[in-house]
Amino acid sequence: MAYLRMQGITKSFPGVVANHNVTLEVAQGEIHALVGENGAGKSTLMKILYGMEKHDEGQIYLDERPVSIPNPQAAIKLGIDMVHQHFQLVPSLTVAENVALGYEPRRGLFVDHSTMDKRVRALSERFGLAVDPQAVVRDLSVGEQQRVEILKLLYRDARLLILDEPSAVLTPQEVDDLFNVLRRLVDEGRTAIFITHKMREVMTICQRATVLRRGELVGTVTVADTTPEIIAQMMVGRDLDTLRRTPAKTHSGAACLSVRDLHAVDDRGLPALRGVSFTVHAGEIVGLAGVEGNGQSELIETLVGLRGIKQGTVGIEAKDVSHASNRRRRELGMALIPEDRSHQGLSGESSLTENIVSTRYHLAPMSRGGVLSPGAMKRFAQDAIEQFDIRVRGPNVRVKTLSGGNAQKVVIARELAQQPKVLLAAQPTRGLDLGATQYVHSELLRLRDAGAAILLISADLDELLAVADRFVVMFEGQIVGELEASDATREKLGILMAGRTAIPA
Amino acid sequence: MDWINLAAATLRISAPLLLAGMAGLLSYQVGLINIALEGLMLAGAFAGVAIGYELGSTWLGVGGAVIVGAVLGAAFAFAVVTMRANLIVAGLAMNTFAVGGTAYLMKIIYDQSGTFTPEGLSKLPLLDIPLVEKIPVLGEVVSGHSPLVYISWVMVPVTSVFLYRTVVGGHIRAVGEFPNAAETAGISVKGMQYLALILGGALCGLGGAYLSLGNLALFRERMTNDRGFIALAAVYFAAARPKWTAVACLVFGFFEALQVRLQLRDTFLPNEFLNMMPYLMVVVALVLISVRKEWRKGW
Amino acid sequence: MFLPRTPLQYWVICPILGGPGQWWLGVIVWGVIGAVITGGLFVARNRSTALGVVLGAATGAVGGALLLAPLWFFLVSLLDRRCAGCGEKVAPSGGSCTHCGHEFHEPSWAESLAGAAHNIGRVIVTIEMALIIGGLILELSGKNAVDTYRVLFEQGLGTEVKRANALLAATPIIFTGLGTALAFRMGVFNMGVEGSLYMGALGAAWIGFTFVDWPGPVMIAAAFLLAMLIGGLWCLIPGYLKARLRVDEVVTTIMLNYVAIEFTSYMVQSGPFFVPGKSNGMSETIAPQAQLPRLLDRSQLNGSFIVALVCVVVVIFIMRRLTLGYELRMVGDNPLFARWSGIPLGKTILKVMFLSGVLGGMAGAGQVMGVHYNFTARFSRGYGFDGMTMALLGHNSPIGILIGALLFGVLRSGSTTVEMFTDVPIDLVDILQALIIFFVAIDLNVDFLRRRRTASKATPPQAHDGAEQNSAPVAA
Repeated sequence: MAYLRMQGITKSFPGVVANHNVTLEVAQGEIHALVGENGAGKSTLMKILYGMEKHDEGQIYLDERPVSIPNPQAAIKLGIDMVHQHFQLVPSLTVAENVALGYEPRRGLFVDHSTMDKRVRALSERFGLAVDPQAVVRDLSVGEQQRVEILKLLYRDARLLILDEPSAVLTPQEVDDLFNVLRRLVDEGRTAIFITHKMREVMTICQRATVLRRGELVGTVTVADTTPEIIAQMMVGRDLDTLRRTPAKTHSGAACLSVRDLHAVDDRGLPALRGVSFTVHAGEIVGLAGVEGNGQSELIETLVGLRGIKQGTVGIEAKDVSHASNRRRRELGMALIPEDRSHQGLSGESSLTENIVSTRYHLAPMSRGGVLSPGAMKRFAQDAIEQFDIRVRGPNVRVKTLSGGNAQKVVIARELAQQPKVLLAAQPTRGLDLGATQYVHSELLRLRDAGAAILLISADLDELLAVADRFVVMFEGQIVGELEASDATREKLGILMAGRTAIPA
Repeated sequence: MDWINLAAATLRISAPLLLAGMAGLLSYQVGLINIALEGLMLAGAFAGVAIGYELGSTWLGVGGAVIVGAVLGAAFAFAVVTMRANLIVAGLAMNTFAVGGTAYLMKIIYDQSGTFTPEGLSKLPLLDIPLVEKIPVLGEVVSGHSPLVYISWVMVPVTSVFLYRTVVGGHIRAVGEFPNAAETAGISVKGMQYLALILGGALCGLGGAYLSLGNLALFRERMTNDRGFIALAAVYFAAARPKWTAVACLVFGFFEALQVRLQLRDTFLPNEFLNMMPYLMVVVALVLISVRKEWRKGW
Repeated sequence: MFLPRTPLQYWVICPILGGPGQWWLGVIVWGVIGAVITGGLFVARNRSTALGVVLGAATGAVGGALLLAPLWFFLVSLLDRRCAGCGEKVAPSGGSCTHCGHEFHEPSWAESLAGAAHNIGRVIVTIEMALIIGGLILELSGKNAVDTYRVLFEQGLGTEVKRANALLAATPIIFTGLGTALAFRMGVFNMGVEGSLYMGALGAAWIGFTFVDWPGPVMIAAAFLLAMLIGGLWCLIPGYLKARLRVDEVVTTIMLNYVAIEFTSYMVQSGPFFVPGKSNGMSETIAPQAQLPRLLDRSQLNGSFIVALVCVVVVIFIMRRLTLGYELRMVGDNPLFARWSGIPLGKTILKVMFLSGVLGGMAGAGQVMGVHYNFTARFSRGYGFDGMTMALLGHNSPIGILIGALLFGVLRSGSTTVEMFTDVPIDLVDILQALIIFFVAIDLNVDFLRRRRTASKATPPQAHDGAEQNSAPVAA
């Protein structure tokens, strides 16, 4: 008998069917994996369960009783609670205050701090979630913050815990700790739904897995009876071999981007880059691998000149640009596909033309003597629309009306229009569908073959393995290894990404 | 110079600043910058005199001022929270409305322009603190003020305890810092914002009542004289911590007191520069805070 | 800049504009508007009997319901488009069909027309609402609202001289409005134009009474230039703090206004420009040849109005055709994008803040050389603040600011004498201004176009799961 049954859930947004007739059954006391590619509808399904979205059709049963969940509070009352990918913690409150927020023990009008601390401490000891209840959340590491989130769920006495990609931000050690906590939880009779797309985690911790693809249910399998390959097949619905790697080029080209002993700090003033050195030659794609949050964002910012350097140098060809502005670097032939397309890469309120000329509006023929030439701008935009096959009728549309793939084409058109010498591509295919992803990859390869030096930063190992000629692996602000494409394997890269510098023979 | 007198005057002058400062602090903590402090105070000042005059009691006037402040605070909250008006623009509208509205009402109801001195309405009595008044210097400084001055001092620890010790206060801070987290925890974000703005309005009304009923019972057009902005500056200055906000208010009060004294004695520093002092200090403080932040970032 | 977001805003306001919502509500509201206007006209014009007013109102109601509402619905219906691909209703412009993915494009001329009508409509409704509520306040305080407004507009527009005076009152507001709008468009909440106005005015006055033997044109040019320079530098202070040290500009600009007021007061009250024997707080009178030529005999309307008109054109040119204009628009639309594109954020802020202050300085110079002929302490009657109101009302468009400022000029100059003819206090204008600002703030720009568009593109294909981390399937 299922503890939770979501029967025939359908949810559509204007133009998109996020979930179509999805049925999910979760048994009491199991850890149930919910897997699927980006955009498969996992998050939407869980948001429906947590009362953050309303489903159009279908019914949710808890203990075989139909329930309605209009908002998160209702879900919490039913014992359903969720750890979001972006933690819902108030930075300046203490751990205990965060855990008990909204459900504080009271003494009259006042918060009963001693009872609250005692309860939180008792919970953290019981489940092995080591955090100091008095500590202020702002000062905690990401792993600790996640523990606070789980404590919050337990404090509210959640029976069904939803964890949205909990391991994405954790180190391997922390992931193991998390798994231990989860095991202890289910031993107590609680249930967990674990959203992920990492096969290893599904195989280690989950009993059953439900696979979604394009908003539809592919099937539910018992983990013990299956293999990672089968689940992966179900997720993508295509042969994994289609992502064949293209033959690597021998990089005989000159060094185009050279980084030496780079040190920088993050927004909080803590060291983010600790002596990063690598070189990208003309005509090669270097893949920068690493778990997110190991200094990649800071590295991009220092490379494009938006973050100050503490120590070290950055060079484009032979020129030292360590302290040059973003614009100067662009003039020397650097281009950039930023990580956050909708905020850093595009201005949604502005027109396509305005977006596409943003890196060269100050140069002839777009402007002369500080006076813009609308004609030249429009012509440039029209050429780009044709050349990069951007599907819009005209150059005056507002960019925020474009779909994700089309929007990324605008960025690519801008950055690639004039043959850059160095291209930094940060997560260039994030959130794109397969067709758009392949388009981006082919553009990168075309640019490489034309002799550009490309640094590709991606959280996606398959993407890196598919297009990169060489790999550098980043861990905690340092380069912990370099691999040629010929001896790079998923395993070797994974080991390096986990911070172990020595590659076992 | 008469230091005792100066100290006592500082306490008196900072009283309305403290009240408005605590109001500004509450809304800052709930995540809303309250530009309307000035207007709310002015409305409170007029309401204090007018209601006191109509009902024939100074204390009823004070009560009326508090209620009018709270009502206008609620109206402001309605605009900002429910109607999603732009915070700063709505605040400025409220200020203009208070300036125009009070002057208009004064002319319509009492046929007075510029200043309205209600006949027969006495100012608030001065209150001595029983034992403290006997202590030589301290007694002269601390004792013998209007009751609202004492209330303004008490308001500082009360605000602090409210924000940091009570359940509702904790919710207000959570809403200000991370509305989503508060929302999922079942806290009403809008409710907290309303609460903070209404309480703020009431405090501003009280501050206004002190201005119009504390020293003399009269209302003058624009009599708040930008105290609301100074209070807001104090809040910024202190990054919305109650204790430091109070200190900032005292410092601004001190400058004003000093200026009045110096004016009488015709001294080396022109008055205008002393007037300027609080404003300049705010700018300098903001610069220092930013510089420190940037330093920490290591830029 | 300010988008409507709550259902209440649509619920209250959309029927007025005939947007989404019940059509009959639109008809009723337009009918009532027609009735009020026509009924009011009858009262005002003919002082007619109650019956006359009722008849007038009835005619107005029918007219409003029959003429205005259908006209509006016609414009709306132009936007009510169906997708060529699948026949479903779609967003009015741009984007792709939310049902079948068919891509759309630029708005057609009809859509542009409807958009323009809509823009004008919302400004009119804003002012109308303020006048109606102001009228209610008047009625509540026992005054005749219609009479008051009639006198107000008669005093503002009645004769040639009065019209000239309205333009005169509008002049400084045009300058400060343009200055404020430049910064607002960039997303910098510069409220410090008032400070620049004072500092610039002092500079202009100094030239005017110091170099008395210079020829007129040279002197006027020099005074304007100095005022522009000082004004620009004054706004550069908060600009620098914002650009380099990231100090919040809202507070610094408000504070620096007071500093400027106190400083200039000091200069003429006890400082170097103090003139013994003159009435308090006034500087020396400027030389006669430095006084700007009058445009009309019996009015103080002077050359600075022409300068203001030129500035409107110049600001339009800056915003649309200069690289600086492009930079400031991009910074305003998305500063992060601007930064990552290599647009020098700091320099743009500095340049635009300087320009903003320059316009403030010109406002000051115009007042000194065209109206007061000296520097008087605290002479500005909130011109900077009025300018900010105009920038908000006109949505930072120079033409909008010009229109708004002219209207405000009428209100201001009309109100100065309204107290003589009625017993309504002049402070009514403050209340009206507050109401206008308020309605701008709660966003009368009920952009139902935008609302529909957002609704349709809230979840573009493939992007709604964007929060998820990107990682293709990994076979272990």
